[in-house]
Amino acid sequence: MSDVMTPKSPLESVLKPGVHAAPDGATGVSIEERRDVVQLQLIARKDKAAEAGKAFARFLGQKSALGPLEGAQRNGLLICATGPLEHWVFAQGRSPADAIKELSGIAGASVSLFDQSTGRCVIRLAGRHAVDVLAKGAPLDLQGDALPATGASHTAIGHIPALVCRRTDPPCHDISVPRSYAGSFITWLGGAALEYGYVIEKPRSGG
Amino acid sequence: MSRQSHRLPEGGLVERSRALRFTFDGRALTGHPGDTLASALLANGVHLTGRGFKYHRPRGIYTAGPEEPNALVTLGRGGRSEPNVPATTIELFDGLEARSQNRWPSLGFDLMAVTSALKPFFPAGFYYKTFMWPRAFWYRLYEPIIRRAAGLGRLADAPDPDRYEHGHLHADVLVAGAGPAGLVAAREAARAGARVLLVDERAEPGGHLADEQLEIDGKGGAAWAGAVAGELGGMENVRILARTSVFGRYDGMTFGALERVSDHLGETGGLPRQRFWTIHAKQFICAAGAIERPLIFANNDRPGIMLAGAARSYLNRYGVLPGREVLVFTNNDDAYLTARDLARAGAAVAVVDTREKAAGAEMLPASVDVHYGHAIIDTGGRKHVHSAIIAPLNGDAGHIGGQPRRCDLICISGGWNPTTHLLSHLGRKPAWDNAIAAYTMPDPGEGAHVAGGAAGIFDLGSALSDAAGAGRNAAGACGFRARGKAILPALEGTQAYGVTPLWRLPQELSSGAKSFVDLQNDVTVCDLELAQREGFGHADQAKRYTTLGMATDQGKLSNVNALGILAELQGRTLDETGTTTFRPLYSAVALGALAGQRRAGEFAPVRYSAMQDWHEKHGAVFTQAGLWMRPYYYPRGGEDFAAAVNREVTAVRTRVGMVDVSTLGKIELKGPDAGAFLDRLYTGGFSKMKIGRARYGVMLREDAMVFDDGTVSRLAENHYFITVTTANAAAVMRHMEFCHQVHWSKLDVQFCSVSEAWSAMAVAGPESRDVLSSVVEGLNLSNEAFPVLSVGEGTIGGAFARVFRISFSGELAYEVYTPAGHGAGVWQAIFEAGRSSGLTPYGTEAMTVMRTEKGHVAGPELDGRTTAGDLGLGRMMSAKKDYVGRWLAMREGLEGANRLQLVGLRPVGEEGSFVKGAHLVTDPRATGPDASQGHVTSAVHSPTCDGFIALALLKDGRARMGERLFAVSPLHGEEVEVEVTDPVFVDPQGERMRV
Amino acid sequence: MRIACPWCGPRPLSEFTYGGDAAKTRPKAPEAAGLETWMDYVYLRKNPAGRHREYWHHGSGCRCWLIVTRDTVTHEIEHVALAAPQMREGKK
Repeated sequence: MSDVMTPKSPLESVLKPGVHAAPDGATGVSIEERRDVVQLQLIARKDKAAEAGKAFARFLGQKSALGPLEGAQRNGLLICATGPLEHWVFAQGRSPADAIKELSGIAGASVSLFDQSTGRCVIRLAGRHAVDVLAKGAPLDLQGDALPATGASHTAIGHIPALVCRRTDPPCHDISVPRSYAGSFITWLGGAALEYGYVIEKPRSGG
Repeated sequence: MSRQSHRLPEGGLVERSRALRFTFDGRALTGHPGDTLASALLANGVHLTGRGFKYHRPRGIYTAGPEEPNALVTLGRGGRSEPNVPATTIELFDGLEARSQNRWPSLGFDLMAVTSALKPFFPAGFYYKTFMWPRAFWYRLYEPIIRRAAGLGRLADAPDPDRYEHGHLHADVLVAGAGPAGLVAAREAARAGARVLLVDERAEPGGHLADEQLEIDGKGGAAWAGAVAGELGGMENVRILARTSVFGRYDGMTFGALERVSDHLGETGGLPRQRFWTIHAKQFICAAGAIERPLIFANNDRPGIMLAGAARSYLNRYGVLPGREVLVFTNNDDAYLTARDLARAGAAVAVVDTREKAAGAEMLPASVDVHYGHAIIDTGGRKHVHSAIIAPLNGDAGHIGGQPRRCDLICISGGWNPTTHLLSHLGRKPAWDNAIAAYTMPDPGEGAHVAGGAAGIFDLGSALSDAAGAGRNAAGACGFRARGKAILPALEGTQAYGVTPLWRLPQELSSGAKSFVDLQNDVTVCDLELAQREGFGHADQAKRYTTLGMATDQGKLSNVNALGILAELQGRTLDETGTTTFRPLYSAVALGALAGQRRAGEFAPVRYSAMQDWHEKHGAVFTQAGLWMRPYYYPRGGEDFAAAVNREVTAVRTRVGMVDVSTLGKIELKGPDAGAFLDRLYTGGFSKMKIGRARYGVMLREDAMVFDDGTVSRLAENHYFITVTTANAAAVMRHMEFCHQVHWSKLDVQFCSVSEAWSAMAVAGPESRDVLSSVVEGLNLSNEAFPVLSVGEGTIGGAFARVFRISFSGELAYEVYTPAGHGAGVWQAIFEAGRSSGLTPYGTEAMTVMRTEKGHVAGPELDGRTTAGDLGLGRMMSAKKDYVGRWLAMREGLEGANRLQLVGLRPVGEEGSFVKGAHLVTDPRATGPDASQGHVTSAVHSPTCDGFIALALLKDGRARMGERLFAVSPLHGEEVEVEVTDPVFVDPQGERMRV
Repeated sequence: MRIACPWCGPRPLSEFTYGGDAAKTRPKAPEAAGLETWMDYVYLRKNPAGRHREYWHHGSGCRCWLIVTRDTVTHEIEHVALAAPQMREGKK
């Protein structure tokens, strides 16, 4: 019965570690599933958006609330302002229940929390050509100023809903995709990355 | 190895040190890197490259660019085969195979040329006036013959094996064209700091510079262009796309471009063949240059007749001398460059100029004669031009039929047309400019600029300084101020460009022979005159009447000439006639490129539940529900569809079954006003329901039609969980967001989609309680502790499980929800627990059978035209509150005997079956639309009822119980006598689910 | 065509769903409004050739409803705003 206890990723049979080099032998993109990330969707209560913004700013040690699409990280919690009333949290190294408790402590009664962890998977794209690959599917100006240096936005890659999160430490993009679409996303990703060559790393599991 | 008879020992940009082998119609030839197929053919003395569309006249290479109307070939084999490719755009590679088109049995001997003799029967628009009698012959004889004779190339006969991609690009300034103007404009914009995207359809930058013998900054034109492009390539804020055509401008400064990534390599080597780019820019500079237009005279289409600019391109860019006895026929100064350059290369050249004098003559060597005030009025030579007749334009009739003059190359120039198409794609029309006798776009509109030849500036020096200004202006409009002066290269001298239009020869100089205006669709001057006579002289009508400008070249060589002719025929100016409408695509785009990766299995994303692997392992046959793959049925042994479904239904109704319902839309709501919000969305009330309870909910549209149905459960004081149908999940979510953000933003409610976060399975049947009780921990499932519509939480194998006692099948049933990561494990655990009870997995068809047996409405009944009252759900409409759809439900048109109401149907005979969509009529002979009394919405074979049953919508249905009607489907040839029944066929009291 | 979402920035049309004329408001006193007012709200539209205020949903983005002022002839977008009043504070 212990099999039931460990949540299964939708990418288990789809994302096999390996190297797919470009014709010239290079690999310009690395693909890694992040199984160590818990995702929460936080929606501000009525008339509490400013209060929630201030609470997060205080926690993050910032002077003012996060602006549109901006994100910041502290203690393994990456908080992104993905909508006027919405924050998306990527929490590392915690169970969903612990993350919920922690975020409740930070934002108090100014937000309602929803656990989106098992509903989505996170795929980390890094490497010289990661942005070129994303540009084939995402209409965001990722080379320009569509996203802040650390930030996230909902978009669609092809017809697949995707939350694109840009990070600086390390510099990479985390793509959060609904689990039912995960297979189709990987199929697209493999095709788009083919000309640059890519490496599929082993999935990173939680601590 | 063949000798390249017309290749000069030096000159041009081709690499003579390497030979490339290719075949044309099976004939082995050689060329060099840097050649196009066209230049290589001309180098080998091959002029005959195709046959005209309608008359199958021998045709040759007419141009040196994508505007080529004649030399269309088919490249490649099998799935890679591509028809109608202009030989002038194909970069030669080793092993290239090309075939001419539109001829049988061969290019040299084409039987279809007989149509040329029948020309009087095939004028423009002939198919509107002929092939009408006898009627039956159209389908059996005429149409198949015409269809086989039509078209130019043949499509590939196998699927395309290559990959195509899409991509997005963003820039401050998009420069279309990397000729001299585009390069200078791009450089100035980049120097000012703007993000520049420079796009050109050629492999190398420089545009037409390599066609000319000139010096820029002390270098040859191509070398200068290479240096500037190198400079741009090294700038971080510049991206250059070569071999890429910008084919369309769309709203919101969006552009479409097609990159030929590996067409020129022969082998794709893992690269995509082509890429379709969507470009977003803030400013746009059109530096697309200009295209030369022909002069029109009798038999102006023979192989060996080409545009003057093209001839000099073949000479200067490719080192090919296309002919040795040359006539240059022109009405402008630009063609004199051709005469000069060919003479320098050793050809014997004479110029025929329609004008009385020309400034361009100054550049000619003494050996070149100029015949002013003359025109070529006819030519001779079937497969290659060998002579021309020259006559004075204003002479008397006695001079017609003068001595034919020997020649093997005629270079013609009727002027130059700026390529302004991209500036017109959003509806802006160009204006006629008399000074250059061409259409230009003096005011390209906000955000757009035009530079160089595209602006009608044909003097290189002026073009470059104008382009520099455009680049700086474009950058400035993006907030980037240019500093310092523009960098402009040193040029020697200016070129005068004078032109006097001559659209067609005067009447007295016209013989009866064909004078072609549109070479690709074989449209002649006579055809245009006919169109005018028949009342179709307006530019748009003449185009469609004659098909001028409608072929793959889209009239690039013919449109302006045709407008000139029509203007003359109508006694109007070209400003008055106006142009036809310019629309994307400027150049052809393969369907494969439009599709990108979205083909076959990747056309749309496919969504799978967490239990997909288990379904596959257990032999499920799948069906598509929107983007989802769902098990349809699970055949065992050699079962067919009917046997499997019957077994599954019987198993659920007698023992226990389990179905994956993870695809349902699920929405979680929190906040003190969550219940009040639900009250306003549904017909029923939910703000006062008890915690731990679930209810059936019906949602209406504001026009009172039923929108969706599902369940509403209250998990806590301020915590609700609702399910909606799979098909409507996105629409319901959008509707709820609209209601909250637009109508009732003062409500303190927060909600989001959790469809993906939960796996869900229904366990149904008399033994379902036993099975679940053995596997669910922490929850008492007895009838007393967990009555119908209860909600509770427990664990299964340590995984969180929320259990709802809801029944869609009408049996004792539960829905088990668990976080999606545990879906597979929990499903497996329940399956194991159910083994001893013979737990049967069932699919969507069995589910449909059972809900139909119970008269539950679903998608087919919720077709947007049915109200709650129609569906027998009127009692669910609360009279105590405002909700979406309440107020328009009270319309008198929605009441009464004319409404289609939900009923059940059974066939009268034992063998009867139904077709979904069949119409209900009293008399099966009267089957016009007025005879329909309603229609069948759901139809299944019911093992429980041992026969076919259906749900239907019938006029005044509830008052017609027991009546006999016919269900007819003329399309299927079906007719069944039926009896109207109550829509609930099984367990009408609903007792089975309450045990 | 692109719409500049006030939160997410300019995005292509594929990220949005059209929501109809924004000139109409749901009757605030629904019961008192009467059938005529309701019919007008649900069915009657001016449909101008020119400036039009309309709803768009940023479904593939922040999921906000927007009020977009667009010229129905030229497709030029003059103005974009978040529809919900409480969302308008806090944006750039």
